[in-house]
Amino acid sequence: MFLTREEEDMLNGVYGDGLGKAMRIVVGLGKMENASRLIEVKSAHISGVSYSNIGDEGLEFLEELASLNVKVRIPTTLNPCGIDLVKWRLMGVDDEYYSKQVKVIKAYEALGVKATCTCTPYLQDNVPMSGDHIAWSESSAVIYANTFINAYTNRESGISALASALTGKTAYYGLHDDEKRKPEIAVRARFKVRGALEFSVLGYFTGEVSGVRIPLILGAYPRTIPEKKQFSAGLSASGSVGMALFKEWGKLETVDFDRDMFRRVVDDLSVEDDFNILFLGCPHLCLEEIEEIARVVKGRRIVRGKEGWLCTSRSVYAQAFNRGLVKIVEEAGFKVFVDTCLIVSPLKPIRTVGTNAVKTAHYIRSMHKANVKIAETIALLKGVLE
Amino acid sequence: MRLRGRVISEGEARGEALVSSRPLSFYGDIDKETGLVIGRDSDIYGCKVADKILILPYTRGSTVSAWIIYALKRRKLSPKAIILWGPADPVIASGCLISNIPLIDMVRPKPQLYIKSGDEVEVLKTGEIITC
Repeated sequence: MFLTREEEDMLNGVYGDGLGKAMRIVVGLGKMENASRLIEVKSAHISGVSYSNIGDEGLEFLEELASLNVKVRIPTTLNPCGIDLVKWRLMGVDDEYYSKQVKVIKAYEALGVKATCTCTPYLQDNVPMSGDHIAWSESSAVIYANTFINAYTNRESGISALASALTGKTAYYGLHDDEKRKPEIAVRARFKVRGALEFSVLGYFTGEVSGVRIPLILGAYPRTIPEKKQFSAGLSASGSVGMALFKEWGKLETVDFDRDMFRRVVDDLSVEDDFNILFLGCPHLCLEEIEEIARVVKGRRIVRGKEGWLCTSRSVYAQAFNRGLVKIVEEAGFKVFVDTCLIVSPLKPIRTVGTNAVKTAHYIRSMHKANVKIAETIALLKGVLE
Repeated sequence: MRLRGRVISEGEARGEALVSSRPLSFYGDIDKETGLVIGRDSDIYGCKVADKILILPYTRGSTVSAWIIYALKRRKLSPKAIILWGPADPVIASGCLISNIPLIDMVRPKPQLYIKSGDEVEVLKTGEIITC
């Protein structure tokens, strides 16, 4: 692999051990894919922020790195952490967890990372332009950026995205190369796919059948942000690819997606008729989703014994707050949290969860040992309101 | 039997194989506290990955997985080596590279056909896997 003089020096520790360590990860991944060179990236997004996920081991790794006086060279944002950094007491999180989580955030901040803590950085906090090369983790955001913004990123891990943030570089391979952004299998929708839930299931089904192959979707296109978000998240949970395509292509092995397949995916994951916590915000809610929720719940109340959780980013929250939407949903008894989500929070045990996201259902079943009911947003809301 | 693949993270290991025919995500499908497989759709559900030679088609899902691999290694709950017969992605690769866990991908012939869970296998620096 060709390295410039500066890149060689970074690798050999001339700019310090921190940068050397980061460069070894970037170059190691490039060697794996026989990359010819490194390229500059314009932004990074890092997953692995919740203390529940990275633990003391991850925290020590970050604190050691921060002690080496190294800083990110490009705008870099963070995925959700385990708590709402302001309203954490309302979540029922204890002081010890809070202090550990804050240490993780402080270590990232010491590295120059913006503590935005959202899985939807592409909405406001870290928006790539079409054609930008970036180094992102958070599998759903990777798919969104590649598929719907036409940015270029591989499916980085939290650690490799951090390495790219520190060096400002990634190796030129995989989805950075137009030649590799080609479909190898097609999924044809056999019915009119509409709404966030149906696109979530289409994504999840696609990931199951495509595995490591980039899928082409025929006969369906997500038009709204919630539909795009849910398609990306569904695909990210079951599959191993960083993008999908929605354009005309030549002949490919084709798998049908019909109403029966839709039902099968939902029935496999959705085993409950009722639920005690409604969780909306996977991926984090966008403004139009909060508007929809506020329209439905305005002037009504959540029934006793049930909870409603809405999770979003700090920046979308600010807009929703200014429009009076936060007040409407809080008056109805919903809790609105930022910086976090139910899946990456330490809250256990949760018995049954209502969700419109197949990704939530997929992870919460194994990680929180909770059962799930999957339905459309409005049906779920009606299930918790008086 | 001698199988061969591409070396992503170099190292040697010898131990008991744990073979799955389904893709796995280290985040979500493995419990960081115990090293047990908790993914409900996995055919190795309930098995411990610690000290095993873990053999999979490929890894899927969350990009947080690299952190989980690192934490498992530090807790002495990680596999001794990871063998894939599909391609490795940056998530598993970076996790294994920083954790010094040998990772071999694109292994041929397909290990699933020649190795079953419980078999003793040896992983060489060269990317060869030998059944003992």
